[in-house]
Amino acid sequence: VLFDILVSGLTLAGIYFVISFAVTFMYGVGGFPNLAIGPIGLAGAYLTSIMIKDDIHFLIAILAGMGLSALLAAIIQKLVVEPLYNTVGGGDRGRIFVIYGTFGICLLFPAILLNVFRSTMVTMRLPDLGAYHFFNVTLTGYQILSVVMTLVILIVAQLVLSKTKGGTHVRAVTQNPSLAYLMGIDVPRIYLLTSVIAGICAYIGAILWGEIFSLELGSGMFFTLYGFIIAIMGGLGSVYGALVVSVVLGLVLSATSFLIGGVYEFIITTLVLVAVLILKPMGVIPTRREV
Amino acid sequence: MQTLMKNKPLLIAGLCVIVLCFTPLFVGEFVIFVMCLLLINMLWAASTWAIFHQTGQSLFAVAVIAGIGGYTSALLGQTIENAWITIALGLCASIITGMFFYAMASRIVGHIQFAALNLAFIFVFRYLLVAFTEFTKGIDGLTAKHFWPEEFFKSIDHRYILILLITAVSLLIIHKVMSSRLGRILTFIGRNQELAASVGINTRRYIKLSYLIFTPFIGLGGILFTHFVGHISPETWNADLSIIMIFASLIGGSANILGPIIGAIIATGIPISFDITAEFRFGIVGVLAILIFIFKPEGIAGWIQEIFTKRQKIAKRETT
Repeated sequence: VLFDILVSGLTLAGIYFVISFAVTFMYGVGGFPNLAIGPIGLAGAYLTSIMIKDDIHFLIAILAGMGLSALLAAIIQKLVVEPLYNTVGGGDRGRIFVIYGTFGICLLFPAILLNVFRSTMVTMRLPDLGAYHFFNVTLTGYQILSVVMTLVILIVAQLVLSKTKGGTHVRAVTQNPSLAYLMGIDVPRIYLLTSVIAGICAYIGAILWGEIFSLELGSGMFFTLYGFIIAIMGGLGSVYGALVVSVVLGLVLSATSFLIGGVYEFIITTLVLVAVLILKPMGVIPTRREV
Repeated sequence: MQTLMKNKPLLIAGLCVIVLCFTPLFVGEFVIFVMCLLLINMLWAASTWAIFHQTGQSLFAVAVIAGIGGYTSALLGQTIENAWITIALGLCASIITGMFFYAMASRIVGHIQFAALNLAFIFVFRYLLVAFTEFTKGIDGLTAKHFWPEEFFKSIDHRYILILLITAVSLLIIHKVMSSRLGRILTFIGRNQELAASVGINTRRYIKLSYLIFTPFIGLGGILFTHFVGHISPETWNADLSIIMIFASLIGGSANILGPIIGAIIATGIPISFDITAEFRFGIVGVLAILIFIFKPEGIAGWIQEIFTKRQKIAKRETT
């Protein structure tokens, strides 16, 4: 049972990290709390699933789904997030209005998905990656992939941010957007790029979730909620904080599910969130950004 | 005469209430049902406006406070005959819930963290309602008695008049509080809490007071809804309810209480009036709120006020 809890917990942790990375990366760079990120990822995953069902090659389906999520993230960033943030003059109040505005967009997504794809629930049906046996526990290829994806995202993010010119620009905008703008960096473009990357991460999280569990119209809100809770507990904008919390929460929820039942998972998550916010108000690994 | 002119808006509002009292004579049951929902939404929107837009608290858990009020009253109604006693106890439960959120708000740093926690509690509330099916009857929900005496309030017209009067008095109280010295201090705290603290205002005390004053109205809305419909289930108390009430103030405008009232009319009216797919109804309210907030941040009430001020200026210029 212990090994089962560990395996299931790490799988959950992998998916949670991918989704919370989208939230924390976007917040870390631009300070935008975009609640529509979950439904954005879900929309791409729905497209991929429907295309695979229609016998289109899975690689094309994945690219199309990823493209849709990236496009939606860019559109929402330009038409909703930035105008809402700027209307009240930015700052904390601006962020609050971004939260409520993007939540309004969340309300629209299930209706659009239902009317376009005519399905309340989808299964991914990606190519089988096989099953592997470790210590009497069987792991599917996608369970392993969810953990591998965490490491890939961490390494790629680290390399891009520290070794490339674009990464340096992103770090400059994160630290001081006004100064970065004065130095000739196209700040709105960096924000746009950030939201596109976040949209793609949300998509990856959604298809992994869909392959291991299943996807339904309400999954988008669920991704958003978990992404935000983990990002807040980790410290908004802190990638390593999100990683630590994803692993701990994944294991705790897996143990909860095994020992007392899945219905209490979210209640336990909220209790952990309350405890963290009271004991460590700025998150487990706080960033320098003022929240 | 001067006093009468000074209280002109209140007189107009009073006349509106009197006229609305006679509505059941001219319209059918469906319209009365919609009007009752509209009145309850007005109460929610106005109290959300006071606590969210004016006092600056990111209180998102409208659904939890209203739901706990409604559920307490409905659950106690299984054993207590007189609905007015259960209503009073439901109000107490709402106040306790409101104070719980105040306790959270005073300990948690950052509006985003508090907003996320509020959102999480909305989901926890629903999970708990489903988990304790034995008491709450799960997703099927509970049957609630109409107001007491039950025989009298079996008629939807009588329930409508009761809700109309309670809503009118509640809106008047909210308006009076917000235009008093206390209201001005709360608005000042909402605009800049640090500045308010720096001039010697005990911000914690006033914020606590705002929760104590306004959360009972949110709870009252939940209780009225429960006893009006005669049924309560977890389906009603979701995050959509909270966000629509915040959107109502964005649509109507947050300058004065007229904003949330106009916003509630639009937010309730759009989903009912237009022949659109059910799933799109709330989404459209969301999009409308975003558009109005970006292009007309002062909202519809502010826009109407702007037109009147312009006309008055033109008329003044013409006379001089």
